[in-house]
Amino acid sequence: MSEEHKGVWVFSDLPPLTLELLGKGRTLAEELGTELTVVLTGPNQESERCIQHGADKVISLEDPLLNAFQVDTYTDALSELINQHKPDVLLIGATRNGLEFAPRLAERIKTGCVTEATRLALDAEKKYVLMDRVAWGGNIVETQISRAKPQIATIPKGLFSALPADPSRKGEIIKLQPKIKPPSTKLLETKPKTTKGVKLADAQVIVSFGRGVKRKEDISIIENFAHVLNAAIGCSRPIAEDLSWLPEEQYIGLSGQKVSPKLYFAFGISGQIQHLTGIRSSRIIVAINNDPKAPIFEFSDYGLVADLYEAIPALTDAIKQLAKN
Amino acid sequence: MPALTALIMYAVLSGFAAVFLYGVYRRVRIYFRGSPPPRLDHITDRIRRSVVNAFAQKKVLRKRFPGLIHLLIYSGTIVLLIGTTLVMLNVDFWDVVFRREFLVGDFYLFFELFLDAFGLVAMAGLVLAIYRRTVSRSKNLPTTSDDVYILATLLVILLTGYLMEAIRLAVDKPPWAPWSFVGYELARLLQARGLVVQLASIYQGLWWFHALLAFAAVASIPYTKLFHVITSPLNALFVDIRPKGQLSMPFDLKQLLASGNFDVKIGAAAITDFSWHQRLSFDSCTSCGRCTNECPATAAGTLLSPMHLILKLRNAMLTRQQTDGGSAQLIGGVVDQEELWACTTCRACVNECPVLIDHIDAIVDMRRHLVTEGKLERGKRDLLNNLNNSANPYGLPQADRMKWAEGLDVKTVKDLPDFEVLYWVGCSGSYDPRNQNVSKAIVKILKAANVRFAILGNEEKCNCEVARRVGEEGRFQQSALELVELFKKYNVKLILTQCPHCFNTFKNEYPEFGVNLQVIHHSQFIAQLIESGRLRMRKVAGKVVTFHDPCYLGRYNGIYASPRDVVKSLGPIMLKEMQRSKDHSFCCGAGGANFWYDVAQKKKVNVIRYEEAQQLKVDVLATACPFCTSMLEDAAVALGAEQSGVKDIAELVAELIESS
Amino acid sequence: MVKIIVLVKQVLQSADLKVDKATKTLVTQGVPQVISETDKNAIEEAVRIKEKHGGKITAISMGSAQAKEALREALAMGADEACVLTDPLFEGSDAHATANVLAAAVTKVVDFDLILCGAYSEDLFAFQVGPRLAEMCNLPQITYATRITFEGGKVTVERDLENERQIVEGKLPCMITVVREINEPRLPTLMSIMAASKKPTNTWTAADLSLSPDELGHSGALIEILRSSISAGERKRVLLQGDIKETAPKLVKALLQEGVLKAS
Repeated sequence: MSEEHKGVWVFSDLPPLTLELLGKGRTLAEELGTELTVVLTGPNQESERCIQHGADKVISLEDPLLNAFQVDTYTDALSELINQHKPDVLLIGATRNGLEFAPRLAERIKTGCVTEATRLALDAEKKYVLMDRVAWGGNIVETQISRAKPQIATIPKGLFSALPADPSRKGEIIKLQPKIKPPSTKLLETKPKTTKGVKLADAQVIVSFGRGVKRKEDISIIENFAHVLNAAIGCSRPIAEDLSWLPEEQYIGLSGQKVSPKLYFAFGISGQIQHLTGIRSSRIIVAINNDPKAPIFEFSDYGLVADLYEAIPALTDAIKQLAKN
Repeated sequence: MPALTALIMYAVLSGFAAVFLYGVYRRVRIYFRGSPPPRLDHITDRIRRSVVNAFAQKKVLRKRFPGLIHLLIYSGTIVLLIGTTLVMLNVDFWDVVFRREFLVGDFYLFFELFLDAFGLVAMAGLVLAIYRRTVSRSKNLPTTSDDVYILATLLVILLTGYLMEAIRLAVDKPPWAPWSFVGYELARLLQARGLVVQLASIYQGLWWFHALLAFAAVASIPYTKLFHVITSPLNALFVDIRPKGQLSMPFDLKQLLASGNFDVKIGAAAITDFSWHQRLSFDSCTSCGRCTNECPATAAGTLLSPMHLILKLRNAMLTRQQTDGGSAQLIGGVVDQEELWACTTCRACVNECPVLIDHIDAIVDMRRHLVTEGKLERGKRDLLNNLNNSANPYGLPQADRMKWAEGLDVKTVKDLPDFEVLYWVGCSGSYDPRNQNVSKAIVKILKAANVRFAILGNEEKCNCEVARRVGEEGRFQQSALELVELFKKYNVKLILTQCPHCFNTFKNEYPEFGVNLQVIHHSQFIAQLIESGRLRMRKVAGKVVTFHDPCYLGRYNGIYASPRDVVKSLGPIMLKEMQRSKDHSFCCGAGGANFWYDVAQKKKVNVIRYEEAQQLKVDVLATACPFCTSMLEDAAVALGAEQSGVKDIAELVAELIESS
Repeated sequence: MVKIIVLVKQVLQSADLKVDKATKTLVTQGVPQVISETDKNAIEEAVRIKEKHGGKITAISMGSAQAKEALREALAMGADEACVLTDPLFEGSDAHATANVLAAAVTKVVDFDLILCGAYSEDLFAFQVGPRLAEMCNLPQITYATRITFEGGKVTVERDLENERQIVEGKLPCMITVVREINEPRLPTLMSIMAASKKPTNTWTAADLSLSPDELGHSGALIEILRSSISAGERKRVLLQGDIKETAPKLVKALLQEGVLKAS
């Protein structure tokens, strides 16, 4: 059965993510010695661009039922394509849409799917894609394979990088029309989300501060640093409760928010138990405090004994240097 | 007075008596609706409590000036009431039936003197009372039309009484007249002014006026604030007999587990959910305001005022709720949730109340209802979830409970089965880095004194005292049943704890679960070790220290001396007392589970307390409770203090121990 | 009247999981078992719907025999009956095999208008079981619900996506997965949990569900776990002191290696 499956396919409902998937897809396709195909839907399809970024083939679906993402129509379309063309590997962008779509699609075609893979590699015999993901509160990394084909993985934004565009690349554009039933749900209304800020409870990166910040105006320094990391901003209780520098929804601690980001920065927070109980589910805690005896260091993965007013510029520089290299 | 006067008077009196009785009935019937009958266990203790408080006015006198006022009015009025009744009995009954009087001879002379003197006593009290409510204006003392009515009426009754006496003495001129010395002097004054004849002509009218006013006053008792004269002695009789630190037990989990029937109504949602004696206690409030004046939650500007809460419950009980049978929901109606959650259970209110109302009892019963409904906001939910899932309020892993002891060579009960003292570290001492220092200090002290102690280690689980305070009674009892088994398993006889809440619960609440442990707080234990010479300490001089009395150690359990003895033993130390110390201590704000959730306050309780300490300009603010320590440290941070100066007495001692 | 099935997963409290440094394995002993947070939201939502419209709630959980405790909590919150799906054959199930079992249970319950569950579970964050089950039962799926309303046999759901909110209308029966924002779950007291043990609870095995072993557990899984490696344990407590110009880049490098910092 696996002999029949050939080709690496990518799909995402978020164009920049599609390009990133093409980047990794290109590598996999080359290692497997097969073609890289991207499935595009909706109006404004950037087929040429995809080819320039690594696609060998573009499957263009123009059915108006696919103009906006909806799980029923997309499952109908992709499952038919897959049954016809039998790809070996399918990478789907792990947007919220992707996360509800991939497993339904996988179930329709009876194959396995790995959610939010953190690493993809081929096994020694190039039969399987080894798909890593984090489980159990970040304590474990599992290497998973799909027993059936296509092997599906959903990939979050930022894991891979798009290849630089190569205008000399050539590719094929195929227009197909799989049979699609009307969706079972009706979209009544969409409202764009106005609040820019990420909710603390869901944030993946948080920059937080405490009494080490001396003046209210200095919060802008924290904000700039958070901006560099695309992070949400939190604080310890005194900042919200006693000083009212930030609204109560932003204080993290015993009677405040509980957070579970991948990365938590604590600037000028001493580490009282009330705060620690709010951050203990963070994957990596970084504490910056000028008191080497601050209790927070016992509770962190990385501690920087430094004045936060010096540390923030230095860290910002170091991160920007990284982006350059 | 004309011949049939007595008869008419008694007829009129019966009318007023009916009004009185009806008033009592109407007011009291709500107590009984849907409640079990009152308990009369420990009857001698109850009677003693009633006599001491209601009759000997013990708690009323805690505040000297108002206490004096009340004592004067109360004693004067009682004496006159008894006296007048004796006169009526004497003239209209004894004389009629037995054809002689008992108010005769020397007895009668002293009787007259006594009554006149106490009339003056009452008047003095009334005048002072009027002064207090007009010129002096005490804090939080509402003056309503009721108060005006009562004071004015009593004053008028007394004045007319003396006037009548004066007229009688002036006209009849009996030989014993000077014994009624007030009336006598007044009679002489009237005679000097030549007013006797005129006043004699209005004597009858005056007599009837005085009589009717007096009858009306008595009849008005159940319709006014005067009702407290009936309810307060009764309240002192019927309030539950329990150790101070023990909350009521609405059900017995052990029994319910055995029977398998958990269909028990818990908590108070409506007035009729309160017990008979609780309803009586609401009706005993005299609006004296003492509870509210002591309450830290009130001082912090929360919605809670203990007096107003009780009055709201009383009014709900008496007014409209009478028509719907008392079933209307209280919380969200007359009572705001936030009033209930703002209470730190510090007991200042109950401690102060002259009529023995237990405000905390009522608040916890209403909290129990809210908890049963399950719609709690995040802080309380997290607290209970943490207790359920992790067996500690922080939600930290059970497996980390002994981490604080790493490297200290502390033995567990398994390592040292023949331990003498079980050192109960408690959740704060185990998990909070600030209080882990205190645990380490205690270990240092115990080892220096060669105490044979052990800890439960990772088997130690929260006793969920905080769950009981927040209203989750079931969780508390579940924990109690588990820990009682654990204590039995390891043959625990003596528990040493650094947390007054744990101390109070083990000592005062655990006997209900079938175990009688000796429980000692670290302040007592350290004081004993020092006194018996088992600890060798350096001395330190030149420090100024004040001690913050934890509510659950001081007010609840009367332990004031031990921590002070420990402080004094540190060396030539100047021990200053805050104005609000010992049983007047001002709460740190953590109790009643307040540590674990947010309470909207205008000025935080812990900040108020910390500032009070700072005013004494001390080097050290000594504590003996991990939550007081935490709250006061928090206050120091909030105020931007460089050094908080907060130290547990164990830390102070440990610093000075000489290693031998 | 709405007949609701709520799917409940009992998970180990992730924050308490530790790594045994010696054996490099996960220490699960003493780690409390809790209902996955989003499933609590699902139960709460079901109870609110019942309070408003009347109906019946069946709570289903696949797990060890301990899953009964999770279901008691669901019953205490307001579910009417519970079904524990437990069988050694279920062990090693992936999302597909799990969905198989749940589909069989759901079919056995027969009559329902709505299936509610959390969008993801707090231990694995896989987001898969809901959609797979919906596909197996041929039900429409409406995911990431933050608000659910009923009117005349139709359900209107507010959904939370990264950059927009959608309002979607669906017909019954359907499956709705919820996110944490939808409500604050009520907390049942110990007494109500004890009282809940009176409510009917069924225990179903593979045989009761007429499932054959090759559809279940390891055999039925479409995903195979080749290996697990412990990625973290205690906090690392790496302390960097000294000249900030040297320590800052060191820190950034370390974070990059941890995979938590992306060079954007």
